[in-house]
Amino acid sequence: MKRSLCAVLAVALAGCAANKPSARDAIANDLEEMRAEAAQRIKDPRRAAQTLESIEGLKEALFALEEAIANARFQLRTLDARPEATRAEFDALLDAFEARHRAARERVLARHFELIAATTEDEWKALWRHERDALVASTR
Amino acid sequence: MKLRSRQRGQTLIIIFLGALLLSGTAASLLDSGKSATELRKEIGHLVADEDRALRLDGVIERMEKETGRFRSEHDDLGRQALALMERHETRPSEFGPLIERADALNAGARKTLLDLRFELRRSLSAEEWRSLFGAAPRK
Repeated sequence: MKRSLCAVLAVALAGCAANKPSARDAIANDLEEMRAEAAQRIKDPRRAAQTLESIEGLKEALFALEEAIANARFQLRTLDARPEATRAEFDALLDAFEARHRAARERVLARHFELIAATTEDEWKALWRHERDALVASTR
Repeated sequence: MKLRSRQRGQTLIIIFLGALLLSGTAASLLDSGKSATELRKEIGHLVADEDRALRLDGVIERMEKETGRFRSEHDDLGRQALALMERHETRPSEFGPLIERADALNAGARKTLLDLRFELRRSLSAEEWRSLFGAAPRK
C-alpha cells in the first residue's frame, strides 16, 4: 500500500515538473500581462507607446540574463565534476559570468528606469508586480 | 504566487548580486545538486578512515555555515533592492551603494566558498571526487 502510494506520488511530482513552464515562457507570460495592464491603464498614447517599448526591452534583457545564468550553472557543474579542475579555471569562468551579469544588470535597471519615467506613481503601482514576477521567472 | 514569494530573495541574489555560487538549489554545495546531508551519507560509505571522514565532515559543515551566512546577507540586500524598485520616486543613483555592497559581498563569498571547495578536494582522491561529483550535469 505504502509502495503504491509512493509510486502515485512520484508520478504526480514528475507530472508537475513536466508541466512547469520554462523560465523563458514564464518571463514572456509575466511581461505580456504587464503589457496588457499598461495598455489598459495608460491613456496617454505617447507614454503608453514608450512603456510598451521598454517592456519589450526588459524582456530581451531578462532573456539574456536567464541564458547567462543557465549557461554558467551548467559550466560550473561540469568544471566541479572534474577532480583536476584548477582554481584558475574557476576564476576564469566566474569572471566571465560576472562580466555578463554586470552588463545584464545594467540593461535591466536601464529598462526599469525607462518604465518609471514613462509612468505615473499610480500606474507604476499596478505595473510593478508584473515586473517583479518576470524578475523571479528569469531564474527559475 | 506563494512559491514566487519564497523565490524572490534568491532571484535578487542573482539579478543584483550575481552570486552564482549561492544561487543553486537550496542547501546544495557549490550548485553540485547535492545537499550536505546527501554528501555526508555518501562520504560515510566511501571513506572508511574515521579521522578523514571527520575532517571532511568539518569542511562540509563550514561550507554550509558560510553559505547560510552569505545567503542571509544577500537576502537582506535583496529585500532592500526590491523596496527600491517598488518605489516610483527611487532615483538610479540610489542603487549605487547597494550594488557596491553586493559586489563586495559576492567577492567574499566567492573566495571563501572556492577555498573550501579546494580544501574538500585536497582531502579526497580523484576517484573519490569523481564518485561524489562526477555525474554529468543536465542542462
